[in-house]
Amino acid sequence: MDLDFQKLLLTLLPDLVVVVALFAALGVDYSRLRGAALAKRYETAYRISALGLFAGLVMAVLQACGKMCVMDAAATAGQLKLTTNTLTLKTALFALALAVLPLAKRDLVTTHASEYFALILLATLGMGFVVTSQNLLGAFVALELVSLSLYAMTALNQSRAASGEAALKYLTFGAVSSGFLLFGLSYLYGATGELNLANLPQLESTSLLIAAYLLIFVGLGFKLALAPFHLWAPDVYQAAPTPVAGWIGSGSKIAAAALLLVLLQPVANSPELKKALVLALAALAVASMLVGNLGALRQTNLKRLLAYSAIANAGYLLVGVLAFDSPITDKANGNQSVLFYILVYSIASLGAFAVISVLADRLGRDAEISDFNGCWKAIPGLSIAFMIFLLSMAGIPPLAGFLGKFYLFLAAISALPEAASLDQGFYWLIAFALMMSVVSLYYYLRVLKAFLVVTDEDGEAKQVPVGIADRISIFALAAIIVALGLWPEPLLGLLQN
Amino acid sequence: MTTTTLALIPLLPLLAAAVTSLMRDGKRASIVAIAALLGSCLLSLIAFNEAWAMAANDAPKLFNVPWLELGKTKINFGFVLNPLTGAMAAMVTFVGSLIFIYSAGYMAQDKRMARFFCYLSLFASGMLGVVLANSLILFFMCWEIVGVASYLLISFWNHKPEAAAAGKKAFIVTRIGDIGFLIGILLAFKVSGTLDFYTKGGTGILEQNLTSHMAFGYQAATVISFLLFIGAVGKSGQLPLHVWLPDAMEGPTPVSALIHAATMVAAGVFLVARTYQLFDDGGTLPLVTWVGAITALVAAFIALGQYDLKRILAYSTVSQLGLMMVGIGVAGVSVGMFHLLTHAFFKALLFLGAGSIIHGCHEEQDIRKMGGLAKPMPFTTIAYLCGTAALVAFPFTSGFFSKDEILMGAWANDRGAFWIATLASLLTALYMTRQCMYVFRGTHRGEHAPHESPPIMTVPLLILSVFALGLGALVKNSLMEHLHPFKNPPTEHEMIVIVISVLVALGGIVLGFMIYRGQVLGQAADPLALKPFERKFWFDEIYEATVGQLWTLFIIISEQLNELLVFIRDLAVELASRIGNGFSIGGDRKLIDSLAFDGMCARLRCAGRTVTRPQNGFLPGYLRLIALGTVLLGALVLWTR
Repeated sequence: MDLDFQKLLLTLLPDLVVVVALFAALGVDYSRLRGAALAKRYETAYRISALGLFAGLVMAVLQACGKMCVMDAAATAGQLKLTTNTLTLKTALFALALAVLPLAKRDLVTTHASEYFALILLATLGMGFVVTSQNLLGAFVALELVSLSLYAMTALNQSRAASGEAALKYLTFGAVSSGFLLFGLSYLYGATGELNLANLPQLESTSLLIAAYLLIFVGLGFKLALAPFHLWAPDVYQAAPTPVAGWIGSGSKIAAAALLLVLLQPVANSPELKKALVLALAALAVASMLVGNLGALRQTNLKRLLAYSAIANAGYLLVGVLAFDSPITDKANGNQSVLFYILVYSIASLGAFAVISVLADRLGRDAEISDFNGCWKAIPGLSIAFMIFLLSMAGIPPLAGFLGKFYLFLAAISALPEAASLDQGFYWLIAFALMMSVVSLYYYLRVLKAFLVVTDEDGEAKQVPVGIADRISIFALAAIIVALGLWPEPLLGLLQN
Repeated sequence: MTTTTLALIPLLPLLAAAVTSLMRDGKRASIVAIAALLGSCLLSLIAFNEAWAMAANDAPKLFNVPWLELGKTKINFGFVLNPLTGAMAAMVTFVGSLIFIYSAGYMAQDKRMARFFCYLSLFASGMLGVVLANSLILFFMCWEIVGVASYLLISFWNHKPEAAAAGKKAFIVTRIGDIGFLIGILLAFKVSGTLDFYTKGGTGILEQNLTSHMAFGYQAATVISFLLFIGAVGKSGQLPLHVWLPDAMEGPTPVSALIHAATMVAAGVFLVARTYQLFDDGGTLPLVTWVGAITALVAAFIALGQYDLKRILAYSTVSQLGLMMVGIGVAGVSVGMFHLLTHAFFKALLFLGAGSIIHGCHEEQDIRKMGGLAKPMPFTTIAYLCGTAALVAFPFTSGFFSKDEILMGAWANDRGAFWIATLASLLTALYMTRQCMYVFRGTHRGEHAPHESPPIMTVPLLILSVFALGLGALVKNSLMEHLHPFKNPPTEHEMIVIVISVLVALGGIVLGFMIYRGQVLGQAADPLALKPFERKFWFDEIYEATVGQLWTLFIIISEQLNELLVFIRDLAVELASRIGNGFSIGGDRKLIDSLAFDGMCARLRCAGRTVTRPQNGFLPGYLRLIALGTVLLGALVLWTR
């Protein structure tokens, strides 16, 4: 097959710039800064990678706007799908990664300064390819790139023994799940003889295909932290460096959710198959909501609590996923509602982790909820931002999380419009999800109570220095949450196919 | 004009409000606020110029932005540009700018000056939103912003109990009207399925014919326009909801000029003009005419008996707003809006002049303690007399032209309203002459020597004077041509109407002059300040005696009812406590507390322990769960197939 390499180079320019930045960060750190102070090495690596990522982001935005050579299918031989929709996701991932970088610089958790940043960039690159890939193998390899980078990053917290342990668990767990995913993908290939998702033939409801999709659900269920494949999440969230936990909880979730949706699209034309799979998805959704929300109730550690909240939110997400082709407005359907939700959730989750990393890591503490008592007095601005993030996750209007949930449930309601009675359709699932949302308020408000109501008993000054970059990224995330809650149309429009 | 530039007109002051809310320094805040409003004034003039190039019946320029989409229903925000909105926006920003500049001088000594300009900017932004809105919902939102801002401004000196009370009164009374307005909006939405005034496809509320729909057994257009009119009555201080407006004079004087002359009170009239098609279709115009006419007359009578400089002007405003309603009712949008525009200029002038007088007399507002101000305050006096001339419709001032149109329309369409309006005009001339005699003639009766105000206050006055005198003749023809045309255009100018209106104006002045010429002002009893006028026809007392008494009655009744209930309760309690004891132990404590709610919560927490049990930290267990999960998932699918 002939590839026009010049064209290929142009279309992959955003990624190439990031790769160059990645190597530049490593190279400078190894050569010029050998033996320099750790803080200086962090600063340099941060600057180089932030610059590269920003350049990549600008180019990705230009591509998404159609201002820069966007590929036709021929340029990558159909490997990638570059539409407004996928490019928007990629842009969002790059932008979120840009918010992670200053947080990573805050806390000198490891002596591997440049590797830390390089791994973040690698994970970001992988995510970008996952959301744009159109090839089963390509998507899998990209997903592995993400996973491997994240495993390594989890181990970076050198001050804690638990960090290494969590990384090992994560790795083992992930390896097994990847096996399942690859198994599923190979069944899919075996049944259809096609690796390119765009060319998949009409699927029939055979046992082989059902098995393929179930295995895929298991594999991606690990990435999304769906119960019962969630067990790694609390340990990893707690032990990994906080920015890494934030990146695991946001970027990789977006990539996995987007991949799940892409893999599900061919099912839309096969009602039999869809019906079989939808039930499995519903079961996973119920299990996740149950485990996530109930498990979060008794957590005393804020990061673990957020891990369980992530499990619960993945459950809500599946409510939308199983209604992926049902309309919510005249233009958007379940796909958009899922992507909207996962984006909004990721922003809020990353924001929450950002606040935690600013506050807790400086105190050298383990982010117990009680550590945050009386933060309101010391840092009112960040406390308000934190409140916005948590309330958005809980789905309180007018924040974006509310609209996200609203669209998900709207999609699920219209999934079976002809069977809109109480026992059919997904009313029972939505009722369950709403009930669980009420339960979730309890633990979110418990955290906010510590932040905003309880006064600090030991009287220790919680004043922490907050850098300008941290401040910008946190407040920008909070502003986006509020803005999307008030005016969701533009994003919803961008996510359309 | 694009969406952005048009949207900037209300957004600039909003931005200024946001910025000034963070500022402490009053002077800087005033500069920010004035600059923002001058900016939107410039944009408004450009927009006005563009709108004026359109013919009367051209389709308006629309800028709709989708805001919310729920299922099939779309709610738009949007702005509309046509001659009506263009002219109104230009007037509001122009008069507003002058008032802002004046305020910078007037409030210079106030500690909370920055806050004052924040509120002023918020108000201006809301008002411009009202003017330019292309949907009822945006109109209503901005209308409410205006309401809140005026509440804040009226009670700005909240250390004075009267000011705080006046703010509350204004808020509550206008809220009564707003309820009607809101119901009207909802009804309009139900009937027409849209909230936009105009749409690109011609399906807006004002473009549909709503007469075929029914609501509550009447034509939908009738009911909707009636409900909207209730909102207009509240905001524009028409009878019987006028009581808040005179009390609102407790606010700083520039506020009175901004809110109670040029902008906010005109919003009600503007609402009627904006939705004129609905009133026309629904046949509610006679109601508008007569409410306006009666308001004009009653308020003019009350103004005769007042001694507070600003209260006289307040009642005069109520009276003039009534005349505008008459104008719209009998002769259409153009006539009512013409008077609205001229009135905005000369009443703003009068209020700012009154502010200058009060300032010069060391915060004295009682006209009995003024007098002889012509000499120490020459500029203010000239400006004030110009405003007075326009208000009493002295020939060839702007008030003369606009009032003449109203009378002409009334003569052609409604003779009853014509005579009432004529009488109100006579009274207008009378009370203004009385006021001027008190204030400017004779010797000063106050304690401190009066002094002229600084140029930052007098210059806006003189600018406004020019407009008060000349605007009418200048814009009359083009206004009539561009706004909604006459309902029933009079075939020719009736000479008799002009003659009557001139006679009434001059007669009132001469009459007032004759009555007060020989009086020793401020000491002897005032011959015209009859008891009913002075006590404002006992409106407050009547409300106190009716609505207030009604509440008292309710209280008494409910107290008696309470007594009865207490008796029954005691009886029932004895009975119930025996049954209840049984239930409380068996039902409440056991069933509800320990089983249902508390039990549920405890169980949820317990369940938390159960579901996290696999989370034991041991990797083999974790991996086993993956396998188990996969098998279960497969079993589920197999089982249901």
